[in-house]
Amino acid sequence: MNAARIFVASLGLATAAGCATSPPDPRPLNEAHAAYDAAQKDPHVRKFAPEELAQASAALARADLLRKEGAKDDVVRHQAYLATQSARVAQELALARAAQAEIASAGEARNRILLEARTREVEALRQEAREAEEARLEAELAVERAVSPQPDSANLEAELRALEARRSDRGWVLTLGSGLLFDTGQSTLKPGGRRRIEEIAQVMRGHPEGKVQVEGFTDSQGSEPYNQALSEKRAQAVTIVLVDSGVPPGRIVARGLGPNFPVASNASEAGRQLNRRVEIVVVTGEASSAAGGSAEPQESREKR
Amino acid sequence: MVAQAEPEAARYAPQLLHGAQTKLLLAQAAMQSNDNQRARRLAEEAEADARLASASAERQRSEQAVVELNRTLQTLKEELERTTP
Repeated sequence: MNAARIFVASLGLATAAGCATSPPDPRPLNEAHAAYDAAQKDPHVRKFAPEELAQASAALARADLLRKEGAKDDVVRHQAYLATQSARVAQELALARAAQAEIASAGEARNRILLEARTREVEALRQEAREAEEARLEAELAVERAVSPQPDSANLEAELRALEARRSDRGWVLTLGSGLLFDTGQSTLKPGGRRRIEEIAQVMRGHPEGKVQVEGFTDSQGSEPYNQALSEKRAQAVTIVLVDSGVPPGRIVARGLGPNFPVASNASEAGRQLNRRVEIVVVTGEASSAAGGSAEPQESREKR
Repeated sequence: MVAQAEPEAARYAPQLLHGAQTKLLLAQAAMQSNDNQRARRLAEEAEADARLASASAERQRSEQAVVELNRTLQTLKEELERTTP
């Protein structure tokens, strides 16, 4: 027992005196290296805490140098400890800053989500407004067509525009509502309608080179054969008036197309009214000079 | 530095902070017995501990904030999906 105590005591003395016989404790320095390696390998640290990493590196170098120079254990341990804590600081700060960056971008994500929601809301409201406006215009048109416009013989061009004649790739297209020209289910022209056709015939005489296509259309109510026949008879009635007014019959092609080629949806009365119409197309220029008679209208129709 | 770290570190890194405080006390004691070298080393280590405690607290706070924010964002998304056409 006594010998053991003396042995321990002498060991303690030897250590206290920094005796060269006891090997240096590698643990603190190893730990410092391990801590630095972990920090250095972490991509977060290189991105978010490069300065702190550099400080840890310097502290570690100091500790290594002290060991190399044979400094006392507690001196090396102290410096190694500072290096270890330094490396850990670099990692903690890197993680903190990475999280802060994520918070910043989450803020952006939040704004994007809100903006998207608001945009969708605005777009929905705009769409509603557009649809309401379209419905209103259709109603207006329907009312206009029900009432015969005042004849203005002074300016044919203006008159035609009042009938909504428009230039298209086929030529001058005049769309006349069936309600204007005919009574319901009838194919006899009303007086007001007849007058309108006569005015159009005058325009034809201004384009002697032009061919005329008269096309009758109905809405989708009722059977197809019935609508087909009605639209045909109406197209013929219009053609007769054109011929009577001086348009050469050879230049006119009349067709009934029934419920085909609607210009509006048949789901609403406003739409159906738009579909019940006669179109008069004055085919001009290159189109009319193309060879063939009945083949050509077919082509133009298909291209539409 | 130790004083600065105190409020947050006490919550997030109590052991480190306690370690730093202990070392400071030991440093004061060392100074009183004129062991200036030891006192300096203890003070330096206390400072390093306090720095680490502070950094650790910041990390934990930030990570919590991320979790919280992601949760809020998710709730916001779900709320908007429900109510927006």
